[in-house]
Amino acid sequence: MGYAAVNEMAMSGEVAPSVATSMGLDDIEGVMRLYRGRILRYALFAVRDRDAAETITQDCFLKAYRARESFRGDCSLSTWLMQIAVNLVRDYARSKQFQFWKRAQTAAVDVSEVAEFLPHKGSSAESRLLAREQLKAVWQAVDKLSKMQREVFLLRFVEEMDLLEIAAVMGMKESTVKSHLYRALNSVRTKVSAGTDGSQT
Amino acid sequence: MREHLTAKEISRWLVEGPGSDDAAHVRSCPSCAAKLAEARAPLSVFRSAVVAWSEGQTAAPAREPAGWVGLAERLNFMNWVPAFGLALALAVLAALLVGPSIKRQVPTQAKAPVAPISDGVLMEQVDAEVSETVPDAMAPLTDLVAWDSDEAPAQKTGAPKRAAKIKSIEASRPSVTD
Repeated sequence: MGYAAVNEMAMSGEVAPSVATSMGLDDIEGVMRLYRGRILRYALFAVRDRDAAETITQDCFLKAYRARESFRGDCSLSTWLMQIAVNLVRDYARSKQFQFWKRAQTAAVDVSEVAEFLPHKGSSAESRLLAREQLKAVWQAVDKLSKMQREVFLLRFVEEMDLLEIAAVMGMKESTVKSHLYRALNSVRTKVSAGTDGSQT
Repeated sequence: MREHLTAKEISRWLVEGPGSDDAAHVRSCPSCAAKLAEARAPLSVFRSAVVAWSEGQTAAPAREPAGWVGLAERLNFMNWVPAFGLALALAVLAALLVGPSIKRQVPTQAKAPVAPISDGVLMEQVDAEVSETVPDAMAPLTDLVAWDSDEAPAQKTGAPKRAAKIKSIEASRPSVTD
Protein backbone atom coordinates (compact mmCIF):
# COMPACT_ATOMS: atom_id res chain seq x y z
CA MET A 1 0.00 0.00 0.00
CA GLY A 2 1.37 3.40 -0.97
CA TYR A 3 1.98 6.08 1.58
CA ALA A 4 -0.45 8.46 -0.12
CA ALA A 5 -3.17 5.83 0.06
CA VAL A 6 -2.57 5.26 3.76
CA ASN A 7 -2.62 9.02 4.28
CA GLU A 8 -5.93 9.33 2.48
CA MET A 9 -7.41 6.54 4.55
CA ALA A 10 -6.20 8.09 7.78
CA MET A 11 -7.75 11.41 6.83
CA SER A 12 -11.08 9.71 6.38
CA GLY A 13 -10.59 7.70 9.57
CA GLU A 14 -10.40 4.40 7.71
CA VAL A 15 -6.78 3.54 8.33
CA ALA A 16 -6.26 0.10 9.82
CA PRO A 17 -4.57 0.24 13.24
CA SER A 18 -2.09 -2.44 12.20
CA VAL A 19 -0.97 -0.37 9.22
CA ALA A 20 -0.45 2.72 11.34
CA THR A 21 1.21 0.82 14.16
CA SER A 22 3.63 -0.91 11.82
CA MET A 23 4.83 2.50 10.67
CA GLY A 24 6.38 2.91 14.11
CA LEU A 25 6.57 6.03 16.22
CA ASP A 26 10.20 6.53 15.23
CA ASP A 27 8.87 7.92 11.99
CA ILE A 28 7.09 10.71 13.85
CA GLU A 29 6.82 12.87 10.75
CA GLY A 30 4.87 10.16 9.00
CA VAL A 31 2.64 9.69 12.03
CA MET A 32 2.06 13.43 12.14
CA ARG A 33 1.08 13.51 8.49
CA LEU A 34 -1.43 10.75 9.14
CA TYR A 35 -3.03 11.96 12.33
CA ARG A 36 -2.39 15.67 12.59
CA GLY A 37 -5.74 16.62 11.04
CA ARG A 38 -7.64 14.40 13.40
CA ILE A 39 -5.89 15.63 16.55
CA LEU A 40 -6.06 19.25 15.43
CA ARG A 41 -9.79 19.29 14.80
CA TYR A 42 -10.49 17.53 18.10
CA ALA A 43 -8.30 20.02 19.98
CA LEU A 44 -9.81 22.92 18.11
CA PHE A 45 -13.37 22.06 19.02
CA ALA A 46 -12.41 21.20 22.57
CA VAL A 47 -10.60 24.46 23.38
CA ARG A 48 -12.21 26.67 20.71
CA ASP A 49 -8.98 28.47 19.96
CA ARG A 50 -6.86 27.96 16.88
CA ASP A 51 -3.46 28.80 18.39
CA ALA A 52 -4.10 26.72 21.49
CA ALA A 53 -5.24 23.82 19.31
CA GLU A 54 -2.03 24.05 17.27
CA THR A 55 0.04 24.00 20.46
CA ILE A 56 -1.87 21.04 21.85
CA THR A 57 -1.46 19.16 18.58
CA GLN A 58 2.30 19.71 18.57
CA ASP A 59 2.55 18.78 22.25
CA CYS A 60 0.57 15.64 21.55
CA PHE A 61 3.08 14.38 18.98
CA LEU A 62 6.02 15.50 21.07
CA LYS A 63 4.68 13.59 24.05
CA ALA A 64 3.93 10.55 21.91
CA TYR A 65 7.45 10.60 20.51
CA ARG A 66 9.01 10.83 23.96
CA ALA A 67 6.80 8.05 25.31
CA ARG A 68 7.08 5.85 22.19
CA GLU A 69 8.73 3.05 24.17
CA SER A 70 5.64 2.74 26.36
CA PHE A 71 3.31 2.18 23.38
CA ARG A 72 2.86 -1.58 23.15
CA GLY A 73 0.00 -1.65 20.68
CA ASP A 74 -2.69 -2.59 23.21
CA CYS A 75 -4.93 -0.11 21.43
CA SER A 76 -4.67 1.50 18.01
CA LEU A 77 -2.15 4.27 17.50
CA SER A 78 -5.02 6.61 16.73
CA THR A 79 -6.72 5.84 20.07
CA TRP A 80 -3.43 6.25 21.92
CA LEU A 81 -2.76 9.63 20.33
CA MET A 82 -6.31 10.71 21.04
CA GLN A 83 -5.88 9.73 24.71
CA ILE A 84 -2.81 11.97 24.89
CA ALA A 85 -4.72 14.78 23.20
CA VAL A 86 -7.65 14.42 25.63
CA ASN A 87 -5.27 14.67 28.60
CA LEU A 88 -3.51 17.68 27.13
CA VAL A 89 -6.85 19.41 26.55
CA ARG A 90 -7.80 18.70 30.17
CA ASP A 91 -4.49 20.08 31.45
CA TYR A 92 -4.90 23.12 29.26
CA ALA A 93 -8.47 23.69 30.42
CA ARG A 94 -7.31 23.64 34.02
CA SER A 95 -4.57 26.17 33.41
CA LYS A 96 -5.06 29.85 34.03
CA GLN A 97 -3.83 30.54 30.52
CA PHE A 98 -6.98 28.90 29.18
CA GLN A 99 -9.22 30.91 31.49
CA PHE A 100 -7.65 34.08 30.14
CA TRP A 101 -7.76 33.12 26.50
CA LYS A 102 -11.24 31.73 26.83
CA ARG A 103 -12.40 35.26 27.52
CA ALA A 104 -10.22 36.80 24.87
CA GLN A 105 -11.11 34.32 22.07
CA THR A 106 -8.57 36.01 19.85
CA ALA A 107 -8.00 33.11 17.51
CA ALA A 108 -11.45 31.56 17.56
CA VAL A 109 -12.55 29.86 14.36
CA ASP A 110 -15.67 31.25 12.77
CA VAL A 111 -18.39 29.05 11.33
CA SER A 112 -18.31 31.03 8.09
CA GLU A 113 -14.65 30.10 7.65
CA VAL A 114 -15.45 26.41 7.99
CA ALA A 115 -18.49 26.78 5.73
CA GLU A 116 -16.10 27.68 2.89
CA PHE A 117 -14.92 24.09 3.01
CA LEU A 118 -18.35 22.58 2.39
CA PRO A 119 -18.19 20.32 -0.64
CA HIS A 120 -20.41 21.77 -3.35
CA LYS A 121 -19.45 20.00 -6.54
CA GLY A 122 -22.54 19.50 -8.66
CA SER A 123 -24.92 20.74 -5.98
CA SER A 124 -27.59 23.36 -6.57
CA ALA A 125 -27.55 26.80 -4.97
CA GLU A 126 -30.53 25.79 -2.86
CA SER A 127 -28.87 22.67 -1.48
CA ARG A 128 -25.69 24.67 -0.76
CA LEU A 129 -27.73 27.19 1.18
CA LEU A 130 -29.46 24.40 3.11
CA ALA A 131 -26.09 22.81 3.91
CA ARG A 132 -24.76 26.14 5.21
CA GLU A 133 -27.80 26.54 7.43
CA GLN A 134 -27.47 23.02 8.74
CA LEU A 135 -23.79 23.55 9.45
CA LYS A 136 -24.52 26.79 11.26
CA ALA A 137 -27.26 25.16 13.35
CA VAL A 138 -25.07 22.20 14.34
CA TRP A 139 -22.13 24.52 15.04
CA GLN A 140 -24.22 26.69 17.35
CA ALA A 141 -25.71 23.65 19.06
CA VAL A 142 -22.25 22.13 19.60
CA ASP A 143 -21.11 25.46 20.99
CA LYS A 144 -23.82 25.29 23.65
CA LEU A 145 -23.02 21.73 24.75
CA SER A 146 -21.16 21.04 27.97
CA LYS A 147 -17.46 20.29 27.59
CA MET A 148 -17.92 16.56 28.10
CA GLN A 149 -20.92 16.32 25.77
CA ARG A 150 -19.05 18.26 23.10
CA GLU A 151 -16.01 16.00 23.31
CA VAL A 152 -17.94 12.75 22.99
CA PHE A 153 -20.11 14.25 20.25
CA LEU A 154 -17.03 15.14 18.21
CA LEU A 155 -15.39 11.79 18.74
CA ARG A 156 -18.55 9.98 17.63
CA PHE A 157 -19.86 12.13 14.81
CA VAL A 158 -16.70 13.75 13.43
CA GLU A 159 -14.06 11.13 14.16
CA GLU A 160 -16.62 8.32 13.82
CA MET A 161 -15.13 6.37 16.70
CA ASP A 162 -17.18 3.58 18.23
CA LEU A 163 -18.47 3.75 21.78
CA LEU A 164 -15.82 1.47 23.29
CA GLU A 165 -13.05 3.46 21.64
CA ILE A 166 -14.51 6.72 22.98
CA ALA A 167 -14.78 5.18 26.43
CA ALA A 168 -11.08 4.20 26.27
CA VAL A 169 -10.03 7.64 25.07
CA MET A 170 -12.10 9.53 27.61
CA GLY A 171 -11.44 7.15 30.49
CA MET A 172 -15.17 6.63 31.04
CA LYS A 173 -17.58 3.74 31.17
CA GLU A 174 -19.39 2.98 27.95
CA SER A 175 -22.72 3.74 29.65
CA THR A 176 -21.48 7.21 30.62
CA VAL A 177 -20.37 7.85 27.05
CA LYS A 178 -23.82 6.81 25.81
CA SER A 179 -25.53 9.07 28.31
CA HIS A 180 -23.46 12.10 27.22
CA LEU A 181 -24.01 11.25 23.57
CA TYR A 182 -27.78 10.96 23.81
CA ARG A 183 -28.02 14.30 25.58
CA ALA A 184 -25.71 15.96 23.08
CA LEU A 185 -27.51 14.50 20.09
CA ASN A 186 -30.93 15.51 21.41
CA SER A 187 -29.72 19.08 21.93
CA VAL A 188 -28.27 19.22 18.43
CA ARG A 189 -31.34 17.71 16.79
CA THR A 190 -33.63 20.08 18.64
CA LYS A 191 -31.55 23.04 17.61
CA VAL A 192 -31.33 21.89 13.99
CA SER A 193 -35.04 21.27 13.68
CA ALA A 194 -35.80 24.66 15.26
CA GLY A 195 -33.36 26.31 12.86
CA THR A 196 -34.82 24.54 9.83
CA ASP A 197 -38.39 25.37 10.86
CA GLY A 198 -37.40 28.98 11.44
CA SER A 199 -35.81 29.26 8.00
CA GLN A 200 -38.83 27.69 6.32
CA THR A 201 -41.36 30.05 7.91
CA MET B 1 -45.89 -5.41 10.69
CA ARG B 2 -43.37 -3.26 12.52
CA GLU B 3 -44.27 0.35 13.34
CA HIS B 4 -42.29 3.32 12.04
CA LEU B 5 -39.13 4.40 13.79
CA THR B 6 -39.61 6.83 16.65
CA ALA B 7 -37.32 9.82 17.30
CA LYS B 8 -35.76 7.84 20.14
CA GLU B 9 -35.03 4.89 17.87
CA ILE B 10 -33.45 7.19 15.31
CA SER B 11 -31.23 8.67 18.02
CA ARG B 12 -30.27 5.17 19.14
CA TRP B 13 -29.42 4.29 15.54
CA LEU B 14 -27.15 7.32 15.28
CA VAL B 15 -25.45 6.75 18.63
CA GLU B 16 -25.19 2.97 18.85
CA GLY B 17 -25.72 1.88 15.26
CA PRO B 18 -28.69 0.01 13.79
CA GLY B 19 -30.37 -2.93 15.44
CA SER B 20 -31.18 -5.81 13.11
CA ASP B 21 -34.96 -5.10 13.26
CA ASP B 22 -34.47 -1.42 12.58
CA ALA B 23 -32.17 -2.02 9.64
CA ALA B 24 -34.60 -4.47 8.04
CA HIS B 25 -37.48 -2.05 8.54
CA VAL B 26 -35.66 0.94 7.07
CA ARG B 27 -34.79 -1.07 3.97
CA SER B 28 -38.47 -1.69 3.32
CA CYS B 29 -39.93 1.62 4.56
CA PRO B 30 -39.21 4.73 2.46
CA SER B 31 -40.75 6.99 5.08
CA CYS B 32 -38.39 5.81 7.84
CA ALA B 33 -35.44 5.85 5.44
CA ALA B 34 -36.24 9.50 4.67
CA LYS B 35 -36.56 10.35 8.36
CA LEU B 36 -33.22 8.71 9.08
CA ALA B 37 -31.55 10.52 6.18
CA GLU B 38 -33.00 13.81 7.43
CA ALA B 39 -31.53 13.18 10.89
CA ARG B 40 -28.16 12.20 9.45
CA ALA B 41 -27.82 15.05 6.95
CA PRO B 42 -26.82 17.88 9.33
CA LEU B 43 -24.31 15.62 11.07
CA SER B 44 -22.79 14.62 7.72
CA VAL B 45 -22.61 18.24 6.61
CA PHE B 46 -20.92 19.20 9.87
CA ARG B 47 -18.44 16.35 9.61
CA SER B 48 -17.52 16.92 5.99
CA ALA B 49 -17.02 20.66 6.53
CA VAL B 50 -14.91 20.20 9.66
CA VAL B 51 -12.80 17.43 8.12
CA ALA B 52 -12.25 19.42 4.92
CA TRP B 53 -11.35 22.49 6.96
CA SER B 54 -8.84 20.57 9.12
CA GLU B 55 -7.29 19.00 5.99
CA GLY B 56 -6.91 22.51 4.64
CA GLN B 57 -5.18 23.52 7.87
CA THR B 58 -2.86 20.52 7.64
CA ALA B 59 -2.00 21.28 4.03
CA ALA B 60 -1.39 24.98 4.69
CA PRO B 61 2.37 25.63 4.36
CA ALA B 62 2.46 28.05 7.29
CA ARG B 63 1.04 25.44 9.61
CA GLU B 64 2.93 22.42 8.24
CA PRO B 65 5.70 21.57 10.67
CA ALA B 66 8.68 19.89 9.07
CA GLY B 67 9.99 17.65 11.80
CA TRP B 68 10.12 19.78 14.92
CA VAL B 69 10.07 23.15 13.20
CA GLY B 70 6.93 23.89 15.20
CA LEU B 71 8.94 23.76 18.40
CA ALA B 72 11.52 26.12 16.94
CA GLU B 73 8.69 28.44 16.02
CA ARG B 74 7.57 28.43 19.62
CA LEU B 75 11.01 29.48 20.76
CA ASN B 76 11.13 32.30 18.22
CA PHE B 77 11.89 35.63 19.88
CA MET B 78 8.88 37.31 18.29
CA ASN B 79 6.57 34.89 20.08
CA TRP B 80 7.90 36.12 23.41
CA VAL B 81 7.49 39.82 22.66
CA PRO B 82 4.01 40.05 24.22
CA ALA B 83 5.26 38.30 27.37
CA PHE B 84 8.27 40.62 27.62
CA GLY B 85 6.01 43.63 27.08
CA LEU B 86 3.68 42.49 29.84
CA ALA B 87 6.61 41.87 32.21
CA LEU B 88 8.02 45.33 31.46
CA ALA B 89 4.65 46.98 32.04
CA LEU B 90 4.31 45.16 35.38
CA ALA B 91 7.81 46.24 36.41
CA VAL B 92 7.01 49.89 35.61
CA LEU B 93 3.75 49.66 37.52
CA ALA B 94 5.50 48.12 40.53
CA ALA B 95 8.12 50.88 40.44
CA LEU B 96 5.42 53.53 40.35
CA LEU B 97 3.59 52.00 43.30
CA VAL B 98 6.58 51.20 45.51
CA GLY B 99 8.77 54.19 44.60
CA PRO B 100 6.93 56.94 46.53
CA SER B 101 6.76 54.91 49.76
CA ILE B 102 10.52 54.31 49.63
CA LYS B 103 11.07 58.03 49.09
CA ARG B 104 8.98 58.78 52.19
CA GLN B 105 11.01 56.36 54.33
CA VAL B 106 14.43 57.57 53.24
CA PRO B 107 14.36 61.06 54.99
CA THR B 108 13.35 59.62 58.39
CA GLN B 109 16.18 57.10 58.22
CA ALA B 110 18.62 59.85 57.25
CA LYS B 111 17.56 62.15 60.08
CA ALA B 112 18.40 59.65 62.84
CA PRO B 113 22.18 60.13 62.93
CA VAL B 114 21.85 63.97 62.71
CA ALA B 115 21.76 64.41 66.53
CA PRO B 116 24.20 61.90 67.95
CA ILE B 117 24.27 61.47 71.69
CA SER B 118 27.75 61.98 73.08
CA ASP B 119 29.44 59.10 74.85
CA GLY B 120 29.59 60.99 78.14
CA VAL B 121 25.82 61.55 78.28
CA LEU B 122 25.17 57.93 77.46
CA MET B 123 27.50 56.73 80.23
CA GLU B 124 25.74 59.01 82.73
CA GLN B 125 22.39 57.52 81.76
CA VAL B 126 23.75 54.00 82.20
CA ASP B 127 25.24 54.89 85.60
CA ALA B 128 21.93 56.31 86.76
CA GLU B 129 20.08 53.16 85.71
CA VAL B 130 22.60 50.84 87.38
CA SER B 131 22.80 52.80 90.64
CA GLU B 132 19.03 52.65 91.30
CA THR B 133 18.25 50.21 94.13
CA VAL B 134 14.81 49.39 92.77
CA PRO B 135 13.92 49.42 89.11
CA ASP B 136 11.17 51.81 88.04
CA ALA B 137 8.79 49.01 87.26
CA MET B 138 9.07 47.68 90.88
CA ALA B 139 8.59 51.05 92.56
CA PRO B 140 4.81 50.67 93.30
CA LEU B 141 5.51 47.41 95.14
CA THR B 142 8.04 49.02 97.43
CA ASP B 143 5.39 51.64 98.26
CA LEU B 144 2.99 48.95 99.38
CA VAL B 145 5.62 47.18 101.49
CA ALA B 146 6.52 50.48 103.22
CA TRP B 147 2.96 51.27 104.45
CA ASP B 148 3.57 50.53 108.14
CA SER B 149 7.24 51.40 108.41
CA ASP B 150 8.46 54.62 109.86
CA GLU B 151 10.84 55.13 107.04
CA ALA B 152 9.44 56.74 104.00
CA PRO B 153 10.56 54.49 101.17
CA ALA B 154 8.83 56.76 98.79
CA GLN B 155 11.56 59.22 99.39
CA LYS B 156 14.10 56.62 98.27
CA THR B 157 12.28 55.95 95.08
CA GLY B 158 11.44 59.56 94.57
CA ALA B 159 7.65 59.31 94.99
CA PRO B 160 6.85 61.35 98.09
CA LYS B 161 3.44 62.51 96.95
CA ARG B 162 2.21 58.97 96.46
CA ALA B 163 3.39 57.89 99.92
CA ALA B 164 1.76 60.89 101.59
CA LYS B 165 -1.51 60.15 99.89
CA ILE B 166 -1.47 56.55 101.11
CA LYS B 167 -0.79 57.70 104.67
CA SER B 168 -3.71 60.14 104.58
CA ILE B 169 -6.04 57.37 103.36
CA GLU B 170 -4.87 55.16 106.23
CA ALA B 171 -5.52 57.90 108.76
CA SER B 172 -9.03 58.63 107.51
CA ARG B 173 -10.11 54.94 107.78
CA PRO B 174 -12.46 54.25 110.76
CA SER B 175 -10.84 52.05 113.36
CA VAL B 176 -12.18 48.46 113.66
CA THR B 177 -12.30 48.79 117.48
CA ASP B 178 -14.55 51.87 117.17
